[in-house]
Amino acid sequence: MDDVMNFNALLSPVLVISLLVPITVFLLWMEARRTFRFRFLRILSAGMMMLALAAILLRPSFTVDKPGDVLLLTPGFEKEKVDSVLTLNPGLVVKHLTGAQPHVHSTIVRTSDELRDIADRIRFLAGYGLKEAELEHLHGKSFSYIPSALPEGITAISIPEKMVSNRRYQVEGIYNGTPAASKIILSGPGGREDSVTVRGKGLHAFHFSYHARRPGNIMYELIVADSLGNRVIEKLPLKVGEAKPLNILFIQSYPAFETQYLKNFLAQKYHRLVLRYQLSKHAVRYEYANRPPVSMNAISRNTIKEFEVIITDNDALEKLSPAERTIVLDEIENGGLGLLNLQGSVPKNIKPTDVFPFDVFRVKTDTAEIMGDSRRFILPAIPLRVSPAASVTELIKNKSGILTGYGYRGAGKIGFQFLKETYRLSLSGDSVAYSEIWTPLIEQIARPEQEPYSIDITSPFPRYPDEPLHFEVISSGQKPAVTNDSITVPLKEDVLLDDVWHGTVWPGNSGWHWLNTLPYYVSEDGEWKTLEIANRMNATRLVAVTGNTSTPAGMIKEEKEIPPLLFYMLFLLAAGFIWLAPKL
Amino acid sequence: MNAGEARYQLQQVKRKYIMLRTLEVVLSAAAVYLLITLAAGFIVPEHSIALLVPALAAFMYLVLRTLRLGIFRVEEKSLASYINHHYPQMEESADLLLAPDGDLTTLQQLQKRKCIENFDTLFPSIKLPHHLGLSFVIFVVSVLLYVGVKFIDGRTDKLSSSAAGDKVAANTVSPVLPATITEVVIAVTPPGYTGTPPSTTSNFNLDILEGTAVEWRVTFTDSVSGPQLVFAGKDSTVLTPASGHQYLAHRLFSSSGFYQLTWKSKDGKRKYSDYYQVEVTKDQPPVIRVDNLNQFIEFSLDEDLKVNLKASLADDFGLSDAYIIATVSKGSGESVKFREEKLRFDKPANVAGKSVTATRLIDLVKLGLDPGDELYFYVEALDNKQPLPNRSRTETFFISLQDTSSVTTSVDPGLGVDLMPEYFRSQRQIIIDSEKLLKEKKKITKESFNARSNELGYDQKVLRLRYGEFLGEEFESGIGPQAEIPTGDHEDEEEDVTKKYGHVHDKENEHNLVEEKKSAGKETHSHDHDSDDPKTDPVKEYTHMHDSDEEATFFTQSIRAKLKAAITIMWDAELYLRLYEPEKSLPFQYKALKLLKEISQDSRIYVHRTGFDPPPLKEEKRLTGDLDEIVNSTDTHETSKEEMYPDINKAAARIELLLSGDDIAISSETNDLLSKAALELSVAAIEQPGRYLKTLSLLKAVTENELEGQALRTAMIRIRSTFWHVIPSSTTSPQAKSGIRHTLDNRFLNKLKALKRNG
Repeated sequence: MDDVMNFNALLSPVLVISLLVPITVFLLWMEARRTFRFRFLRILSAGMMMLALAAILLRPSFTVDKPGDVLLLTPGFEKEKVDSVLTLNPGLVVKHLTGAQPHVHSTIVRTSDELRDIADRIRFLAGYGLKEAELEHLHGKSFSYIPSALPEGITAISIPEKMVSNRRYQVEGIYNGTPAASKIILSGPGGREDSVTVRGKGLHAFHFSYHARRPGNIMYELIVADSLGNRVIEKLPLKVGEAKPLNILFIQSYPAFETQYLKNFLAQKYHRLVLRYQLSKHAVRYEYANRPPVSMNAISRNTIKEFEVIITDNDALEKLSPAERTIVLDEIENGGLGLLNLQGSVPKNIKPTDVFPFDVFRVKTDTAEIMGDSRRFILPAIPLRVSPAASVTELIKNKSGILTGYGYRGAGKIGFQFLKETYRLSLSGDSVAYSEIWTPLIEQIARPEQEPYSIDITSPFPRYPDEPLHFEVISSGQKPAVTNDSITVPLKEDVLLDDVWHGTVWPGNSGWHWLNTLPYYVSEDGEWKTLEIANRMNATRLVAVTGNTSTPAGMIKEEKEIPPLLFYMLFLLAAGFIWLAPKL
Repeated sequence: MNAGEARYQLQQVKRKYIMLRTLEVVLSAAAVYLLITLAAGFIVPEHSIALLVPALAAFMYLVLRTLRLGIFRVEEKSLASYINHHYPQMEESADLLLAPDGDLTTLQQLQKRKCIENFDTLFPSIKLPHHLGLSFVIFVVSVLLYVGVKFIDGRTDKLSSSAAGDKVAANTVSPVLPATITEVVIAVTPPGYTGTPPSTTSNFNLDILEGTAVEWRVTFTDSVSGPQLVFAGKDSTVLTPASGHQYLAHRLFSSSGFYQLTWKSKDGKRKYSDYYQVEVTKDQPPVIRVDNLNQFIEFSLDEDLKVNLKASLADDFGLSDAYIIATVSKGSGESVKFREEKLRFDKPANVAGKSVTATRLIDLVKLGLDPGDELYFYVEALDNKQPLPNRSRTETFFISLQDTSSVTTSVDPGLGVDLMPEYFRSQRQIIIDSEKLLKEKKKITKESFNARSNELGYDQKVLRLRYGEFLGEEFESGIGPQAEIPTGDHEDEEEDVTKKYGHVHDKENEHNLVEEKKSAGKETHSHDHDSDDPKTDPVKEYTHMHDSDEEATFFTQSIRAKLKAAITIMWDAELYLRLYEPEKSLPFQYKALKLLKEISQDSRIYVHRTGFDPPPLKEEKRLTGDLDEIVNSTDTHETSKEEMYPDINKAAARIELLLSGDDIAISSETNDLLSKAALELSVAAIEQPGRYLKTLSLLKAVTENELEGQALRTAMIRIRSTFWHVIPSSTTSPQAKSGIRHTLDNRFLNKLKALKRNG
C-alpha cells in the first residue's frame, strides 16, 4: 500500500496553520510554566489536543489501491445471477443504485455524479438497467449487461402516430403473461372497444382496433384484468388530427359516370374539386365543388400549384397542348403533384410513357375479382395489369396482377386504376368498399402539404415528468423555433446533417403538453411500469452492445478518509487530562 | 362482629344507596329522552333539532337530578343519622360506629359495642329511600309509547307508498322527487275505447297508451312562480295553480318523448327537474286471416257455386266492424263491367270483441255471376280506436267461373294492339284448306292430292313451330306426349262458310319465316349445347339463369298447359296430313283450333300503347354539323352538409381535457358549452329517448353544479361516452397529408434524375 496523505481542509490550510501554531506554542509555554504535577504529560496533552484540532480542520486522508471493477446493481436485479457473477469474479466491487436492494458488501451510488465517477470501472450491470439520463454516463463504455426477467405486463406498445378522425386504427402491443389467464381490454371514451384474453407465460402479441370518431387528444385506457380480479389501468393517449380536404383537378376527355360518381363521393367529403370535360371539339364543361370557380381553360404553372391530385385519362392527356403537358410533368417531378391516370380506353400501345411509366401486360378477362376488407366482389376491369416491380407500390391486386397502385416520378407520384364501374359498389349499398378502393389510392398519391419543419419525439413512450424528453426537428431550410408549452426550447444542430436539430425538454407534470403544435402526453409516475422497464432494459442492452471493448483497468487508487471521530476523541481526552491534572 | 366489620357494612349500605339512586336517575332520564323525542317528532319532523333537543334535555335532567339528590355527596355521617332516625333499635347511637374507640368514653364504648350487635341484626333489613320503582314504571311506559307511535307511523308510511305503487305498472324504480316538490300525483286516463281504467302514479316516467290524457298534480313545498312542463326540450305547458302550492297540467299524448318540470323558486332562480321519459304504445291495427280459401279459385258451372269464407279477426283493444268487399266483373274485352258490393258476415252479425271468427257463405249465383265472370273480394276490419279507427284488409281473393261456351273471336279495329295475331287464324286456314282438299279429292289426281296434303302438313308444322316459340321451344323438340285421338264426328265439314274467305297467300310468307327461324334455331341450339356442359362453362354455376326455355313464356301456367296440349295435337294433325289422310287429321285440327281459341280468350292482355312523341325535326338543320349553339357550361356545387353536432364535438373535447386533470372544475364557459351540447343531444333524444335521457339528466345536473367530486367524474365519463356514440360513423375519404422537403431529398431527386438522364 502506497500511503500518501492528502488533506481536504475545511478552511484554508495556511490560515489554519498560521492560527494554530502560535496558539500551540502559547499553550505549550503556559503548561510548561504551571507548577503542577505531570508536567510532561500535560505538555504532551496540549500538543495532542492542538494536533487533533488541526486534524479536524484539515481532514487528512490516505490514498489506497483497490481492485477497480465494479458490479452495479440496478433495481430488479436477480440475486442468483449476481451471486454467480461474484463467484466467477471475486474481486468485484459491488455497488447498488438507490432503489435497488443492497447486496452483501455493496455500497450505494446516490447521485448521477457518483455514477459518472465509477462509470469507467463498471464491468457488470445487473437488473432492469439504467434510465436514459444515467445511461448517458455509460455511452462508449464497455460492460456486460445481465438483464433480469421482464416483469408481467405490457412490455411494448405501438400507437399510430398520425391519425385522422373517422378512420379505424390499430394499436399493437406485446404482453408478458402470467401462468393464469388475463384479459386485456381497450376502453375508449365510448366504453369498451376491444378485448383479448391472454393465457400462459411468455410474450403474447395483441392488437386492438378502434374507430377514431373525433379529432382531438383522446384518452383511451388499456386495462389488464387478471383472473383474481386485479385490474391495472394504463392510460393510452391518442392524438387524432382533423381531416383535411384535398384540392383535386379532374381533366376528362368526355364525361363518364365513373368520374361523376367519384366527384360526388369526394365532394360530399368537402374536397375542393375542379372538373373539366371535353363535351365536343370546342365545348368544355366545368364543374366546381366546395370552391370558387377558377379559369381552367389552359393549365398554367400557377393554377396547377394549388392542386394536390390530378385525375385524368390517357385521351385527355393526349389532348393537352405540349406546353400544358410539360407543365403537368414538371409539377409532378419537381412539385410532388400526384397524377391519377385512369385508362379511359385500352391503349393500343402499351409501352410505358412519361405519364404512365409502368410495364403492363394484357390479360384475357375483362373483370377482376378482388378482396375487400369485408367481402369479395367482382368488378369490370381494363384487360391490362401492371407487372410487379420495385418502383410500383401495389394497392389492389389479385392473382392476375396489380390493378391499382402507384409509382414515383421525381418528387411526385403517378397512380393507376384498372378497375372500372366501381360506382356499382356504391349503388349496391356498399359505400365502404367503394371508399376502400379510392381512398388509399388518392391519399397516397396526393402531394403532401409542405411544412417548414417537422418535429419528431425520439424518446419512447411512456414519458415521465422531470425526465428528459428528446426530440428532433427536421426543417426545410430555416432554423426552426420550438416552444414547449410556449416556453422557447434551445436547439442544437446536428453535427453531420444540415437542417436537423436536436432538443431536450423536461416536462414538469403529467398530462398533455405541446411542442409547438405537436401534442405529447406525459404519463404519471407509476403508470406503464413494465413498459418503462422494458424500454430501460432495451436501452441498456443497446449501450452495452455498442460500448468499446477496452481492457479492464485492474487496480485503482482510492482516497480513504481518516475518520474525524478519532480526532474528536483525542481532542476530548487531551483537553480532559489538562483539566483533570491539577485536581489529581 | 367488631367495629371494623360494622363500619364496612355501613359503607356497603352507602354504596347500595348510591347505586339505587343512580339507576333511578338514569331510568327517568331515559324516559325523558324518549318522551321528548316523540314530542319533537310531532312538532318538527325530520329535523336535526328533533335529535338534538331530547338528548340535551335528558342530559340536563340527569345532571340536575343528580345534583339535587346529592348522590355523590352522601356521607356516612348522614347515613348514620338516617339510621338513627328510622331505626330506634340503634338507640340514636349509630354515630358511634363511625367514631374510633380511642376518642370515646368508657360509656360510649359500651354503647358502641351494644350498638354494633344491634346493627348486625338490623343490617339486612335496612331500607333506603328511593323511587326506583316509580322511575322504572315511567321508563317502561315511555318505551311502550315510543315503540307504539313509531310502529303506527311506519304502517301509515308503508300504506301510502304501496297505494302509490299499485298504480305504476311498468316502472319499478321511482325517481327521487326534485328538491322542492313535496308531492306529485299523475293521473293517467287512457282513451275510453281501450277499456283500461284510469290510474294515478307518482312516477314521472310514464308508459302509456296512444291517446292517453295525463294530468299532473304537483305540490311544491313553497310558493313558486311560472311552473311549466317542457316537452322534448321545446314545447311547454304551463301548470295552473289549483290550491295552495298545488299546480295542475294536462296533456294528451300521441307519440313518445320526454319532458322536464321547471319552475322559478322564491329567490327568482329557475329550477329544472330531471328528464322523464314518456313511452307511448301505439294501438295496433286489426289482424285478419282467411284460412280456408286459396287466393285463386276456379269453378266450372256444374259445381256447387258456393264459397264458405271463414276469417279470424283480432285486435289489441277490440274490433268495431268487419265486412267483405266483393267486386263482380262481367263481360270481356272492352265491355267489362264492375259491380261492387259490401257483404256482411253471416255469423256473428255484429263484429265486436278482441278476437272473432266470422263466417260468410258466398253464393256466386246470387251475386249474379255468369260463366266467364269473375269475383274479387277482400275482408276489411276496423278497430275501435277513437277518433279514427285503424283499418286493415286482406289480400284480394279471386274466384272465376269457367266459360265453357264457344266464344267468337273479334278483332277490334279501335285497339292499339291486335288481340288476335295472324297465327290464330292460320289453324282455321289449314282447316279450310283441308276441307277444300277433301272436297276436291275426287277431281284432282292422287299425286296432286298427296302433294297438297303434304303442303298442308308442312303448314301445320310451321304453325306448331310458331306456337312452340311462345313456349320457348326453339326447334323441333322431339316427341311430346301423344294426345288421345278423339273419335269426334266430322259434321262441321259441310257447314263451314268461312272457307270462301280463305287467305292462302299467307303460306308463302310463313314459309320464309320458318326457314329463318329454323336456321336461327340451329345456331341457338349449338350455343345452348355448349353452355349446357357445366364443365366448360364455370360461369353457369354462379349465375342465376333467367332465360331458361322452360320458364320463359309470355303466359301464365294454365295457358301454357293448354298451349302445350295444342301443340301436341298439332303434331297429330300434321302426322295425318303427311300420311295423305286429311280426313283423319281434321278432328285434331278442330281440337287444336278450339284450344287456341281458349288460349286467346284466356290471355286477355291489354297493354295501352305508350310512347314518346318526338318534336318535329327541322329539316333544314338536319345533318349540317352545326355546333355553334353548344357552348361551354359551368356548374358550381357546394356541399351543404353541415358538421353534425358541432357543440357536442366541442363539449366532448372539453370533457376530455377536464377528465385528464385531477380536479374537475366547471367554469361558466364550460357550463355554456355543455348547455349547448345538451340542446343538440335533446334533438337526438327525441328520436331515441331511452338512450340519451340519462345523459341529459346528468348534463343538467352538471350544469347546475349539483355534482362534485367522484360523482361529477362519473357523470362526466358517462356524458363523454354518450357524446362519443352520438356521432355517426361514415365512410372514409382521402385526407391531405403534410411533410417536409429536406435539402437531402432534393439532392437525392436531382441525383436520381441525373442518373436517369445518363443511363
